[in-house]
Parts: sequence; C-alpha cells; structure tokens
Amino acid sequence: MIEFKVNGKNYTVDDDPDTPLLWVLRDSIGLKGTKFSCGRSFCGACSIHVDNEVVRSCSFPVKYAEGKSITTIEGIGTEEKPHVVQKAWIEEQVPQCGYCQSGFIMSAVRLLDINPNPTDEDINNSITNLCRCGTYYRVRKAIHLASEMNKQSE
Amino acid sequence: MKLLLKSRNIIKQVYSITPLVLVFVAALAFNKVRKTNNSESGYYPIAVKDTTEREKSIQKFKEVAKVLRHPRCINCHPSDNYPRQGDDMHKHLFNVQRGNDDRGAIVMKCISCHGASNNKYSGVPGAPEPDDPNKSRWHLAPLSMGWMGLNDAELGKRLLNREMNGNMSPEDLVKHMEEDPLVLWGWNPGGNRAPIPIPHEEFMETLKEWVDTGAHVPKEDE
Amino acid sequence: MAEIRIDNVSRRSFIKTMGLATGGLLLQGSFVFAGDDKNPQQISLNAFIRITQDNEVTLIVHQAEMGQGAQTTLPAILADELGANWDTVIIENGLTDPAFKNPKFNLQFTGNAESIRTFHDILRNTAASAREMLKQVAAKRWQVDSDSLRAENSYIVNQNGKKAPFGDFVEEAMKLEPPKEVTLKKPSEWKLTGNKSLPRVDVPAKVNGSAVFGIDVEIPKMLHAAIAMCPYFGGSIREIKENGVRKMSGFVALVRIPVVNPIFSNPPEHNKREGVAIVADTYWNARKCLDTLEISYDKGPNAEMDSESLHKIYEDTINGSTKWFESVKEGDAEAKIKDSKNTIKAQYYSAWQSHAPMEPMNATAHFKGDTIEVWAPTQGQEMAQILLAKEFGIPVEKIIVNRTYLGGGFGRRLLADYIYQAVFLSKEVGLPVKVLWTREDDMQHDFYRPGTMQEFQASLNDEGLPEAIYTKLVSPSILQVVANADYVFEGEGPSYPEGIKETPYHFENRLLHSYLLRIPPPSSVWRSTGFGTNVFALESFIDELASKKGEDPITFRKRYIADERSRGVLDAVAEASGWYTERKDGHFLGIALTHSFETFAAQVIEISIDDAGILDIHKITTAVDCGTVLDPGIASASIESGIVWGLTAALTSEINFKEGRTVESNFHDFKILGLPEFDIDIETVFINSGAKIGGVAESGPIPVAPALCNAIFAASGKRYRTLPLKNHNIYTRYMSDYVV
Repeated sequence: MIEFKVNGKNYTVDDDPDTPLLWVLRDSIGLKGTKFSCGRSFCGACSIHVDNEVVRSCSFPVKYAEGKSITTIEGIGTEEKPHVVQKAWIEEQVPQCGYCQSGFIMSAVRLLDINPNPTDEDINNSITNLCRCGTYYRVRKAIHLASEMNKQSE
Repeated sequence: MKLLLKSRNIIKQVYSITPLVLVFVAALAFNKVRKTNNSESGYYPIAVKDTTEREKSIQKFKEVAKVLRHPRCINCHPSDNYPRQGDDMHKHLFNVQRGNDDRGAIVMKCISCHGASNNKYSGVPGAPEPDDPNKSRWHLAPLSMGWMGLNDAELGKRLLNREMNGNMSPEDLVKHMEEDPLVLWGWNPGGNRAPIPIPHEEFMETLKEWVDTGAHVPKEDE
Repeated sequence: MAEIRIDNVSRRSFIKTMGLATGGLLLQGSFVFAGDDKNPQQISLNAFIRITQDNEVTLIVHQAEMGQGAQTTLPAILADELGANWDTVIIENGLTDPAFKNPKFNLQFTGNAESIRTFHDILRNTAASAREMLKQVAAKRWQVDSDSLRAENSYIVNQNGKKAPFGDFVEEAMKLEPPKEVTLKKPSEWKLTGNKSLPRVDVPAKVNGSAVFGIDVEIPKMLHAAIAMCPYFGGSIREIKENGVRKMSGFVALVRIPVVNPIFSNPPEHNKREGVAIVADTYWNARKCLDTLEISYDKGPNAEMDSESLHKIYEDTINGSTKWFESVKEGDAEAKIKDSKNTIKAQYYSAWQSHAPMEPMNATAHFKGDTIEVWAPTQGQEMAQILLAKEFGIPVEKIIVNRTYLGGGFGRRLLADYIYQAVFLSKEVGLPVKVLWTREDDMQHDFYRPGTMQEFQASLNDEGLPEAIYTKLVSPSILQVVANADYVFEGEGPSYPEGIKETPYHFENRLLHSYLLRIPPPSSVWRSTGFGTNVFALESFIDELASKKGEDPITFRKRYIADERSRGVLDAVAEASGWYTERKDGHFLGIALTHSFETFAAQVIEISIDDAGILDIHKITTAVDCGTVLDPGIASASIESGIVWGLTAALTSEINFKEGRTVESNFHDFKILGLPEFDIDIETVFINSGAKIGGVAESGPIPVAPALCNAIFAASGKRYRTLPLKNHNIYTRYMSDYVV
C-alpha cells in the first residue's frame, strides 16, 4: 500500500509499486487532466508537481510517491478562483487542441513560483514541453502576462 | 654473459678488469624491468624506483582515463552547459541544460525525469542518493569537473586539482568512485546503454594502483 | 479503482466562466453525448437547433473540435443568425446525421479546411429558417406582421419593445413547414461573427484539465486493451510466446486480430497487417501483459525496402521513360522546351512525415450484438460507421459514433482503424473495451504524408522570361485510404496534384505529367494535403526563375498571377514585412504565395544565416484573404499553428524506412520543434475582400517551406531543393543537432 496526498487529499493505493504515477493518477484515482503522450519523458504532457517540483509522471514509479504531496492540473486552481496562469492562458487563448496544455501550465506555474519575472531566455530554458499544434508563441505571451498579472495584484 | 663465457681467455681478462663494469652494464640492461632476483646469476639489478613508479602510474592513469571518457561517465561531465546522452554522446535532447546548480534549469531539473533507479517502462536511467534509496541523485558534475575535450594531461591535472575537484585527495577520489551510486550506475545503466566495459572491481584495482604509485599524470609535453 | 462517469445524462454541469467572458456554456466534465437519452424537453427545430420551453437553446456542433475552433465558430454562426443569447446557449457535440454531410462529398467528416467555407451558408440558412419559424408563431400570436419582429438574445422582440422568449413559441414552431426562402442578415448586422474574436468555448476546460479527450472516456464495466501490430509492411506474426501471461494480474483475454487496419486500399490487400491484443482490467495491466509476450515477425516481401531504395524508385520514375498521366496541357510546352536554347531545370523532394498528434490513437467501443456504440476522438464519424458496417455486418443506422475532443487530428483521425480494433475486441470479450496505442504504435502505424518529388523545366525567351513550363510530379496517393471502395483512383488522385495542377499563375504553355506511385508504406492525408509539398516546389521554382531574370520575387510573380486577390495578398505582406524597406545587416527575406482551399495567402520570412548554416528566424508575416474572416483571433491562432507545423517539416522532422518498416518511433527520433524556436515575431494580416469564404486551417503551413528556402537563397546564394533542411546541415540554435 502506498500513501500520498494529491491536491490536498489523502490517497492509499495498492497498485504495483513500479506503476508510473501517471496511470495511478488517471486510472486508480480518476484524475484525467494529466495526459499520456510519449511515455518516455520526452514531451512533458504528463507533468505534475511532487512536493512542488515539476516531475514527468510517466517516468515516476508510484513507489517514490510515498509520503509526498502531489499537485495536478486539477489542483492548482478552482472554477471560482483559477490560478493566475490559468487566467493568463484564457486571456491569451493559448490552447488549440489542448491535449498538451496541462503539462505546459504545470511547468509555467512552477517557473513563476521561482522566477516571478522570467525573461524570454528563462522561458526558453525552462519550458521544454512539446506541442504539435504549435501554441508555443502564445504560451510565451501567457507566461509574461501571468507575470504581469501577479505584479498588478500585489 | 654468454659472450663473456665463450672465450675463457677473454673472460679471465674481463673478470679481472673490473666488476664495476659488469654491474653498470647489468644496471643499464635491467633498468625498466622488474625487481626480480635472477637467481641463475646470483645477480640483483638495481631498479631506479622513482622513474619506474611514475611510468607505471601514468600507465594506470591512462587506463583510468579510458573509463572516465566512456559515455557513461563523460555524458555527465561535459565542459559546457549541455549534458550529453547516448553511446554517441549527442547533446541531450529537448534543450535540457545545466542550470544554475548543475541540477537542471528551473522546472526542467534532472530529477523531473531521472529517478532514483533505472525506469524500465520509460527507459529513463536513474540512480539514488547514497543516504536515501528513494531520492534521485541525478545531476551534472560541476563545470570545474568537466572532462570533455581534454587530453590526458589536462584531464589528469583537473582530476587532481583540489580547487577544481571538490577538494578531494586521491584517496577521496577512490572512495567516490567506489561508493557513489551515480558512479556505480555507469556499470548498470539499463536499456541499450553500453555499460563501462571493464568490471567495477577491476577498475577500482587500477584506480588504487594509480594512487598507490603516486597518482602521477602525464605532463603537457609527454 | 475510481470510476469516472462520463455519461450521466440527466446531470448537466454548466461551465462557469472562470471570471472571464466566454461564449456559450459547454457541457464539461460530465460530458454528455448527444443522442444519449437527450432531455425530452428539447424540441428540435432542425438537426442543429433545439430549444426547450424554458428557453434553453442548444446548438449542435457537427464538426470535430481538434484545436481549429470549430466548436466555437460554427455555433456562433448559428447563434448569430438565429438571434440567440451567446452567453447562455448550450453547445453539444453532434452524432452522425444526413444534415451534417458535406454536400460536396456526401459525407460527414472534419478536414480539408471545409467546416466554415462549406457550412457557413448552410448554417446561416438553417438558423434563419428557425428564426423565421419562431417569428411566424409570435407574429400570429401577437397579431403583427412577422417582418416587424426581430430575434435578439433568445427573445422575439416586437417593434414596441414587447418581447417573449423563444421557448414560448418553439412548440408551435416545430409544427410549421420550414420557409422556402429566408433573408439572411447582412454582414453589417452580424454580432458574433465577421471580424469578431470570440473567446473559445473549449478553452476553460482545456486549462483546468476537465476537457474529455478520447483517452479520458470511461464507460461502466469497461476493459482496457494494449495492442501489438506487425510493424513490417506486408509482414506477419511468426510466433507468440505467451510466457505465462494468462496468469498475470488483471489478464482477461489474448486476442489475435487478423487484420488490424482494414482500411480501403488499392489493391485491397495492400499492407494489411495482423496484430495481437491483450484485454485486461486496467490499461497498465494490459500494457504489462502485452510486454510479457515475446512476438517474432516474418518481415515479408518488403524486407529489403528502405529509404534509399524507395527514393530510387522516385528518381527512376521521374528520370525514366514513365507512362505519365497528362494532368494539365495548355499550349505546347513540350515543343517550346525542346526547341529552346535557354532552359532551366530543377528537381525537388519533400520527405515522408508522420502526423504525431499529442494524443495517441485510441477508441472505446461497445459491441452490443445488433448495435455498436463508439466513443472516440474522430474526424470521421460517418467514415467509421461505414467501415464498421462493412466489417461487422451491422446497418449504419445502428452504429452510434460519439465524438470527444481530439488531441490533434491533422488528418490521421479520419481513418477508423483504431476504432475497428476497439469494436473487434469488444465483440470478443462481450464488454466495452478501450484500446490505447503507445507513441511507438502511433508513429510506426501511421498513414504517412508521403514523400513527393517534382521536376520543373522551363524555357526562357530572349528577355529571360519563362514561356513554357513542363512539370513532372511523382507521388503516392493521398486520398485513396480516405475514400471508400466506390472511388478507386487510377491515373490521378484528387489530392496529390493540388497546388501544382491549379496554381495562382497563368502560363500560356504548361504541361503537367503526374504519376501515381504504389509503394508499400501506407500514405494518407496530412495537414496541408497535396499543397504542402507541391507549393514548396512551385514557389521555389518561381523564385529560381525570378533570380535567373534578376528580378524582385514579388515583381516577377505579379507578371503571371491569374487573380487580383493574389496581388492583394502580395502587396499586403510586402507592406507588413517591410519588403521594400531597408533591413538590418544580415537580414534577408523570402516570399511564397499560395491559393489553396479557396483562400489566398502570401508569407514572408525574415532570417539570418551564417556560413556554418546556423539559422536565425526573426519574423514571419502572413497576409490572408479568405473572403471574410469570421473570427480573426481563431484564424490568426490557426496561422501561427500552421507556421509551426510547416516549419517543423521544413527543418527537422522526417520519416525513414529500413528493413521494410518505419524507423522512427517516438519524439527522440521524429524530431519536432520546441518553444525556443518561436522566440520570433509573428504578424498576420487579414484582407476582407468579400469573396466567398475560404478555409484557413491548412493555409498556414503551406507557404512556410518555400518562403524559408527562398530567404535562405537570398541570404546565402544557396538553393536547397530537398527537405528537411537538417539534411543540409542547416539548424536553428535550439535544434538538438546543433552543439554550441
């Protein structure tokens, strides 16, 4: 049995300890917002936070989640109070097909936590997620906008 | 010797001339070789200890260097801000970089993908921290420990330079390479990654012999 | 294991707008599939519009939402013309229906940039019809003239301000005959469309993780399947070692599938493959079970096939005495070229490409004996019905295909091979089954954008201007697999000559010879269709002609353009890109023009390139004349998206073959561009010429490759005629092949 928190709630699962956390989250716990795309850590669609660090859950066996605090896309904001990154994403109308966007957003959230004022170079070096619809141009704009929005609300 | 024995007359003459000459010749002949006792002649060659040790040490170093330059080691010891990957040591895909702390850029940390053990499903390699089997140790060696593109002399110098190598004595280096889980990973990389081609014990033996023989490294002009 | 129910039909959760204005309330999270026990209160005025007596207006979206914005703009057209309140309409995904068929093809599908240009007028008429019927009822009830009423915000409003909700009139309206003629609103009366950027209705769900893609579908009692398909074209499974799989946790069944891809092809047996699937209680268990099997294959008759041997076939065809199909003959190009002393010739080649959408192929199906129900991220709901009807002998009317969001379509999801697999397995185990491919499955079992080769030969007159052009085109079929058995293309198919058969130019003497290659790797339509590779060749050659003449590329093109709209986009892009103004040192421009999907577009790319081949892209400017741009926000996002798509194929991605199978299997070897490459300026201008509305979704990628190569020529004097450019050691700074 492996115990951990997801989005503030406690879970105990009895999956095979080597099961990627991605599938435990999606199928055992039922949070579908984190996506499977490459299964080999190449694309970032499966990005989540483990104790506030970005982790690609397709390459993270659930056994290492023991005692940790996991955050998924479902947990960074609510409908009443979306995360500022989500607000910026809507403002810039970033998503197209939308499949990869959870991963981008999780990465952007963490980026802004550590670096509230990222330069384009910072964004280039940190956001390595893949998008086949080519939303890259708007992802960048949305990160800058989120940074602005944070400043204004201070 | 045989020469001397051929003609009794000459022998008598030579023997009578100077034993010192013999000794000198013998010393020259056995200069670089072994400290063995040639019991046939009852003769002990005198080895010049310093030169022999240094040569031997450098020989050992070259064997060590071969391992250090193997992809499993050097991929994480780049001399720039880009880790390498694969047996062909290509630049790590997906714009992965060193970051400020050798542990990856913000939000693209090494441990975002690389776990505490080789992941058999994703194929991503991993290794644990020595004190925590569930925590990933994956990271780059600091720039001061970058080995790519260095020749033997430069590599050796860098390896021994305590200001650059994390203040490690040669004995510390041995301990590091004996025990560090990330180093040991090089022998158990998983996937189709070529492991270090000689067994770890053999490598440690060579390494220790290098240290025991004075941890010499070649000079630039050698 | 938690159960996420997607089909709670009576529970409708309305999306809240997250504090920002969106248009329309979308059924999110609990995704209601239309046709599933729909609200009996809904009264259908037609296939697209349902209204309850409580004034709940539901608009049916008949086209797939795969990122191109169909789920926003199509209902916006309906709401606009109907006079419905956009903030309160409910948007629902449609099933198949004769009313949803594309009249040009008599088929319901999403692709080919059809959604707006083909359905705009249909939707307007449908909504106007419904509006007039409601007005008619109100007019009778209020004893006024119908013309004195207007429809606004889901109310019928009288001239004196008296108003009543649609819901009051809908029951009677339904009984009326739809009017034979309706007057559509003038564009000046449009409130939601026509140069208005609406917030997309699907965006909120796509930023909070609640949007339901095919992979997210959960049906009660559903099982999961992982599948292994023979990767060799024409090969077969030799042996399967089970290694105790049947005792593994969660194992339900091991199922051999004789043909995993019963997609129509010509000849019919072409490249059919077999496979084996494991059905289990969870996806991960299915995966582990499948990995336990040891499967060996016979490579089959194409074991020696590789990229080089295929390329040689193209070369031999284009250079040899081939039985060409005469696609175009105007004037006498052959004679003019033969007699000329001044000719120029060039050959071009674009590599094979994979779709690689971020969501791998998947489908969920329930075979219920005499009916079939499917839930899938599909562009081809009707095509799936047709295939399943054929394979399982069940009438089309008894096959329901529910459509989720698509994590990328790009043409791949027109085909129903993975849907067929889900149904096959469901039939086998008697329960609903979801089949999910890995990325490796997806890339190795794609129906690829085929490589195509073109040769242009022109004779030049005394002024150095082209007077005759002879083009050869060698290409596998693009649309054969998309068509069904009724359409067997011989001689020439409809898609692969696009962009080179009809061009934006008029030359008096023009000959086009084409040859339809039949080679093992499966090929199909890919975003930009036949235009993508043909326009690369054409626009590069036009540039080569301009250079030979020593004339500015825009001035040169203007000599030959056949339509004023070409001139319009050329001028607009020249202005926006600063074509005629002085540039920074080391900056160079390249241009390309295209007329595709009834839209005219011209694109200029500004670059620098150094001697080592390191490319810096500074700005990409596109001018688009699609007649009237309904939603500039969505349209410009589409162009941006197309730029990334086109640039990736131009620079770095390609599909290779070896030993009779595809080489690439994931994103480490099928390389696509990333975010850092797009630290560039992108500007898109729209020209509203008022012409018939054209498609935009595929126009973005088309001019990119030739504009880029033309810019590289301007910068370096080097002409590159084969793609991708990485094979010529041209890299951007962030491509992995580039090491500092």
